[in-house]
Amino acid sequence: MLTLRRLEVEGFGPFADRQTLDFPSSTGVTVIYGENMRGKTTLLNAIRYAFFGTALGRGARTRRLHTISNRDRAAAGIYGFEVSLTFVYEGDEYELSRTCEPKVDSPSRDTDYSQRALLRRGNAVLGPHEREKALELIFPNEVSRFFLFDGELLQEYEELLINESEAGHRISEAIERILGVPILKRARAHLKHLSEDADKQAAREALKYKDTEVLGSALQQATDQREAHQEEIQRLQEVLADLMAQRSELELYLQANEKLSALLQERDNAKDRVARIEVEDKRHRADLQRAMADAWRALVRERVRDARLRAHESVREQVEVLETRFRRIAIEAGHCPICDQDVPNDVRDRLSGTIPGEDNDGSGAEDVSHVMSRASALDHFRDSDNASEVRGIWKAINGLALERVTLQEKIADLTAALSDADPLRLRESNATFGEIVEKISVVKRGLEGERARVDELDQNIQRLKRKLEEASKAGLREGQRQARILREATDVLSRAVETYKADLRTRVESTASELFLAMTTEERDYAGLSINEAYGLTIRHQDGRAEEARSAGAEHVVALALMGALQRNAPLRGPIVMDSPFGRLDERHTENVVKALPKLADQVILLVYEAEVGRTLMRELLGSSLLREYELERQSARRTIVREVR
Amino acid sequence: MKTNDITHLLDTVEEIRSRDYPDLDPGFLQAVVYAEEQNPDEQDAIRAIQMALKEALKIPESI
Repeated sequence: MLTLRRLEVEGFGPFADRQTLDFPSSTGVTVIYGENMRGKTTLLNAIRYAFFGTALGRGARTRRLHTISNRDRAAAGIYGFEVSLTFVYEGDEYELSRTCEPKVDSPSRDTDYSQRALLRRGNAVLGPHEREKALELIFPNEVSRFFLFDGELLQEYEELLINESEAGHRISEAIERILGVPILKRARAHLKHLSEDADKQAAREALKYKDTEVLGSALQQATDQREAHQEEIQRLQEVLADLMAQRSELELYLQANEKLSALLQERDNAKDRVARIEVEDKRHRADLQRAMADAWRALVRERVRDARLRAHESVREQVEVLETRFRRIAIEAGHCPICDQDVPNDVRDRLSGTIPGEDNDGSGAEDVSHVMSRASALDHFRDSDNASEVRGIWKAINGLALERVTLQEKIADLTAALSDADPLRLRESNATFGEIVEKISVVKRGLEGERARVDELDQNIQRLKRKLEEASKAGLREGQRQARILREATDVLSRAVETYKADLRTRVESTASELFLAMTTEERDYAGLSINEAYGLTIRHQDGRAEEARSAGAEHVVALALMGALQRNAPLRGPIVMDSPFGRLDERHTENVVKALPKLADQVILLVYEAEVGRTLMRELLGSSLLREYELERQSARRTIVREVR
Repeated sequence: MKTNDITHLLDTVEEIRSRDYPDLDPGFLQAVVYAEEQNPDEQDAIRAIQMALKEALKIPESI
């Protein structure tokens, strides 16, 4: 059990002068009230800095050392800071101090500082190697998220419910770490390694005897092959880890630049559209050129139509004149000039009745061929109207021009918005991300194949070893026994990993449900929480249904329940230091969470904005579990002092 | 990783050992778990397991 006893800070954030907070040794809650900007998160960071030498800023990013120094002191030329933490671990008292001092007169970057750390156990000061080893044992950084947490980051636990989530995977690993699973996993791996060495040794021993030589040779060959495949597995695992790290890094970069990436995509789409518009415009202009070659016809269409009518009228008139002339000849000469036959008198008489008046005396007949030619020419004139086609093409061209102008304005706006972006890197990152995902899939398939081969060889090796044992050579018994112990122990540990994990999930689920029901305001509707393989928790209704649409507040309560459940079920236990955990909670949830705080861990240090929970209410809700209260008092914008309230 | 209470871990291991390999020395498995708990360094842990193995081999096989 790790318990904090005292925190001292100087020059750290708003704490210009040395400030001390003593934490009571009994089980319960210490509350530190502070308005915004007074240094609540800084105190959480001071504890983090003491243990790990780093402080976190917004979004859990590592803060630059230079930005931590108190600004008031820096203005007076005093840079650097010191944090000292006293704690008790397994009955021993430790004092851990870290000092950050400037190496130059006016430091401006992290490299201008040097850091010193000192760990005292009882009266003995530990050396650097011993200090780091002790700190790794006492408080591993990988599990610090469950002890030192910022309420605003609790939503990241939702990732545990998402399959294939890289962040969720990292949290799952940290959960297993705090629950002690790696002890069994490492034991299994180390026993397996020793067991394989024992197999090789057994093969070498068997080669020494004539009657086991063949078996020994086969065993040696099989163990060599297995080793080769294991080396390949090792190599592939390294490649996979590297690819996963690259994917993770790219994921972070792409997430951080998600908005810029979307803008870039929008600009690329706009540019593509402009390029397509150019092509469409060219095509429309070619169509227009073709259409315009006939467009003039529309202008003369009416006149041609009139002329055609007149021409046909003229033809009709001229034909009539010509017919009259031929009739006159037939009547007067009694002979037809067309068919060259005589015309009988009775026909001549009848024809006389068809002759018009004097106005058509048959003159002008010589114009017939001319008039007919003209009519024919006018008949051949295409007077079709393509004006609507031309109008359509013009409309399309104008539409494209308008769209192009709009897009160019949009491209200019997007280019301005992308002025801070690195489009090349964004594009490359997007492309590389896809490639890496593909490579990961290939490497995973390769690993599966190699593991299957190792399993086959393992079975073969076990068969050969059984045969060797049957041969029961006196000189081989010791080695065989050693190999058997290691093999059996490996098997026990393998089964223990799965059994322990399953058992842990059940216990975490049960404890988290209990804590959740104590904190939720919907305890009548909810039956509890159910846990998945990755330790993600789902709210379960009384009727067994899973709650699919959790509110931000519900997420918050579920995350707090998980924190408490991990603390209660983990072999590694320590204080919970929570900064502003009520941000997303309403009044009733806040009260329930405050009441549940003593159940989350033996030592709880709560950093809170007083408007979230007033002192009177805090005392009423926590009762005797409230051990001590501090307030962060403003001296100036750059100076805060810590005052004990009660 | 050093932990404060590994009773549950040890209980799980012992339960499986007594069920599946009753002849396997329980002290050896316990020593393996402690070796891992107390030695974050891989080589230190392996050395501690090898020491425990030597102890286990000293016990006559009939036990």
